[in-house]
Amino acid sequence: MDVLLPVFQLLYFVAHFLASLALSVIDTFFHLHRLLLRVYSFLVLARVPPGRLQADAAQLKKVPQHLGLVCVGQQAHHVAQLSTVISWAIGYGVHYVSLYDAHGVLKRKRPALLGALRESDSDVLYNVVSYGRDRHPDRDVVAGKRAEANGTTRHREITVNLLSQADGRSNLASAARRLCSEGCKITAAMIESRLVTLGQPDPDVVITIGEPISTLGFLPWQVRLSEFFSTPSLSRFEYNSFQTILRRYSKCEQRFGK
Amino acid sequence: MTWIVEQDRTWAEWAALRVLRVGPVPNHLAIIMDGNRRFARKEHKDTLAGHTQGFHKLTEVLCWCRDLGINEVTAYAFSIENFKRSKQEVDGLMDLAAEKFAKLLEEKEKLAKHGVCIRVIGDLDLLPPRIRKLTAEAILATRLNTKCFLNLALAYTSREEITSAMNQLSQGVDKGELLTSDICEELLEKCLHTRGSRDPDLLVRTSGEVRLSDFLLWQSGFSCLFFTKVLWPEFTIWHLFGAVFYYQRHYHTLTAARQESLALRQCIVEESDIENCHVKFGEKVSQEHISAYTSARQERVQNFLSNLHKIRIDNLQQISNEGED
Repeated sequence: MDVLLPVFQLLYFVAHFLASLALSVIDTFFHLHRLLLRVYSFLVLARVPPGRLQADAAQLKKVPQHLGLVCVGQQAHHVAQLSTVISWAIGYGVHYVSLYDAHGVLKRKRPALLGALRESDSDVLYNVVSYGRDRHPDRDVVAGKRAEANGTTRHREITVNLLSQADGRSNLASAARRLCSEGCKITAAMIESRLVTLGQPDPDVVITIGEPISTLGFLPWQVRLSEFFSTPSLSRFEYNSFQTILRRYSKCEQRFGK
Repeated sequence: MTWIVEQDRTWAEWAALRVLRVGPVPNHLAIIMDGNRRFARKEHKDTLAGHTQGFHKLTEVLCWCRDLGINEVTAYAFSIENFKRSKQEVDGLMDLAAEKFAKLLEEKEKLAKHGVCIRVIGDLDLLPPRIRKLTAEAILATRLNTKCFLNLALAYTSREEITSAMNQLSQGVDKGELLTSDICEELLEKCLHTRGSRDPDLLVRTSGEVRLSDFLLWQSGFSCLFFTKVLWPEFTIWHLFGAVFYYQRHYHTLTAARQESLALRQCIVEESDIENCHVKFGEKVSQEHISAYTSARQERVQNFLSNLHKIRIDNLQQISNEGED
């Protein structure tokens, strides 16, 4: 019925193919770039001197209190790189970090993550929290390397939430269950008091690692005013991109409806 | 300005449209129409002119969506937070809404011909009485059309939506229509203002802001978010094509994630049914007990939802009759 259909089908595949091709060319370029940097500087690229983090943070008008990292697909498996991102965030003065993946890979990888945090070159205490099916919090406190070394002084405490799909919509559903059994008028504050992030500020910045930009079920109630950013993959997520994201966040002006 | 715009496509637009239609096209598009005021400032017009221009753009986008095959559009017209704006602007916006809804009622036949169903999501009680009456009339007049859907978010915030859904459930429990254990994600979802409609596949926000700003927080869980710098009145069909192309590139990731979340949700419901059976009948529970319990639960939920629907329609009818006698 439609003579032109095959032509359009061909064009459709060509268009998507060209887009994929362009992206993979850029990808290869990034990889080569990284490789070159490594060869020239003999540095472990991921490690940024802590003094630089603070100096960069001081230039910003505002820094997020709570950072969300949403891992798409396989990204959640690169635990060591995630812990590097956490250390950048800490250098900028973030107090809460939420790590999310839909299938609970991060919750299962908890021991590996704890190990990576213990190895990290920082002087803070990590309070790693996750919630099981029965909503009982599972807490672990680990100290970064430098905090371990001078154990006597008091250290900054950072909360790291390990979240999965069960902490999103189904957390709201179970909150509804419990609130309904109490039988009084439900308010937003009452809902908030039943959520897993009780006592924490809402995430200010959410970075999707892996494309596309999507929350994939990440804390629906709490992302009300979060700013969304994305990075194509953890292996390409370098300090410079992190800095760019936080710079863009500090420039954002929120009007709160006005 | 009418609600149904019909435009001719240039050959380039027509070709791009045909190419995009080869692949998956979102069923449901959500839009945050941001940038009307900045546009007005840029063009040295007053704010209201910007909003009028924004409305005109929305009707145009509806036409593009019909051509693309997107059959549901949800647009964020006015948030509860927007009541904080200057009185002059809020009044202006309300007048604009009144004018457009009146126009809509005039064009009832035309809308029926195109099968456009218009729903207003949000807390209608917060709207001024005359607007409330018009919106109720508009919803009732178009509610039997089933070809394409336009959901307008007026006096809407997602947190209010979730809270009021929970209150409805709580009332159901109080009246004895529901058991607390019947409450699950799916039921909560069906009590939201958007009940019965699919989750949006693609969410577009214009003007360079990268927030959801309390719009469809629950429903946008597995939507592809597309942020673009262009101001809403300057949005063109090519921006929409870009968004759809972006959606197509990530269609498989998102569909897989959505499917998995539905499977998980189903799993939780089944487990809770078995658990409740254990509580009710003791340790020895056969498969028959469980399936009997499940069908009893489904019936309860169905009754509750149809009651809720009836109450809603009655309520709308009551609002639309207000002031006539």
